Amino acid sequence: METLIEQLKVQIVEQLNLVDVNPAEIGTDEPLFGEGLGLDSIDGLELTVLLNQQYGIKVSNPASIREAFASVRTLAEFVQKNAPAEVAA
Amino acid sequence: MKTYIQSYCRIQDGVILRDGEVVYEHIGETADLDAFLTAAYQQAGLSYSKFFKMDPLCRLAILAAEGLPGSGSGAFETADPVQRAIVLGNRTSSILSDRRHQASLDCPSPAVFVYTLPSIMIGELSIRHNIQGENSLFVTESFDPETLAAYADDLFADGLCSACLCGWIDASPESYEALLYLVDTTPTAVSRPHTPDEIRAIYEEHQPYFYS
Repeated sequence: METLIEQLKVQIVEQLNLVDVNPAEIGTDEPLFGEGLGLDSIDGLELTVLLNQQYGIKVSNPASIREAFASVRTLAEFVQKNAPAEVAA
Repeated sequence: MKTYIQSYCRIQDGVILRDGEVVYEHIGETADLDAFLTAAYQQAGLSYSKFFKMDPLCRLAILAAEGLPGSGSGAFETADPVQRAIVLGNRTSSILSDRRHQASLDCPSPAVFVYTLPSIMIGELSIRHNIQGENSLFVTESFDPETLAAYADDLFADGLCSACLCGWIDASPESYEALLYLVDTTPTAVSRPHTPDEIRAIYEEHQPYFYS
């Protein structure tokens, strides 16, 4: 899980072009949206693209993964649970 | 009603001029718009995390507008945000983002797609400078100060604004340039008449510098 969390931090910074954010400084449990990392709605859509491209997870209803976008930890748990076995391995 | 240009910013070929003074000159390949924008942002000491999420056209607009609202007569600063207007023009619309989006149609990026309209510049500038009034963007074949001046002056005459951010922002694979200027109705010691001829003069007065 810890490896996946660190990997997600790097991928989030790259996918969202967060030039002034160091992945290592993203708190695992800090909010991704609003306070914390301060992501917006477009970033949320971009995260669904990341999930599809990197982990083969297709999100048909973005509202359904609201809880998964709470923090890097919840996102990692979502990936671990929903990624196809060959991708998650 | 007489209107006046309070201050302006001109950007082209890696050079930024504010009211005629060079404030930044890019060292390196001036045609590399991304590198120029990043270096100019850092040199200006800006801290605006949204900047790097924007497409090059919007980043060019944000850079050109920095410092303008606080300059001149102060009318922009004291105006009710709904009395702050913005009137822009450009030639190649949002071609850089359009092409980037086209190239990624197999898996399109929402963050790219939202910039496939040139009027997104108005949105980004409005967020940055709390502009809540009238706004328009004209796509024309070439720099068109007559349209820009006439439209802005109509806004003032109709009481729809008390300060207006105006100008020309264009970025294509071949070139980029910006001229942004702040207009209001208060003459100052350094203001210039807001007329098409004066706007064109500002636009052209630095051409020899850029092409020397």
